[in-house]
Amino acid sequence: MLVLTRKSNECILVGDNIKVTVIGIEGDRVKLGIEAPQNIRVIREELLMEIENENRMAARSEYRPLPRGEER
Amino acid sequence: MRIATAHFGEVEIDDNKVLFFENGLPGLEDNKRFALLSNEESRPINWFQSLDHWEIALPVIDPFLVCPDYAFDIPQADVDALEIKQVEDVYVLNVLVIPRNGGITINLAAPIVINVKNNRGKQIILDDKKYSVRMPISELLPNAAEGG
Repeated sequence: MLVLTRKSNECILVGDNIKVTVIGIEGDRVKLGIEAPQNIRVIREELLMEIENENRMAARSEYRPLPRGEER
Repeated sequence: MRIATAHFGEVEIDDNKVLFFENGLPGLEDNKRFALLSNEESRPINWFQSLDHWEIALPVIDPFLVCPDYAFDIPQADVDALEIKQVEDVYVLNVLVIPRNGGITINLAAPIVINVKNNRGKQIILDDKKYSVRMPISELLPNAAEGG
């Protein structure tokens, strides 16, 4: 893993067409600007982890029809 | 082909009904082939049955039944990967969690998108705060009733 130190308003370039800019730093929060081509997916890691977790929970779902109360 | 399923016993699946997910689903990556199963009792819930591991089946639903104004853009990379030529070929399903106790939730943040022309699909991830990973169905359905 490459570890870099950057200050506010400094950038890193990844490959030919991805640019990550440190827009601001406030306490333990870093605001990043990411410029990447449309075919590069940029998401927060915890969102992917939530979806992985949700799919595993779904696979343990109980087999039952929609209860009447929820089918209004 | 004849397959064992999680909830429907042994079932005959036409080869042309097999859905291909090149990367599996997030969290269930080693499941690449699926079929949609339902019966009178289960509908409108369908079960997204893995053909690689018979015990893996996820309940899914047409999101527009519970969230009529659901809308999202399919990223161009996914349009290309699934070779989607026209929007009419796109079939959308969202994953439900049906816990033993408690209410059913729907994952609106990660719709399953299927190109019905080639049976290839992918669960795409919307980074849109509007859509929750765990939205209670009971909060959506009163709106659905009003809308239709």
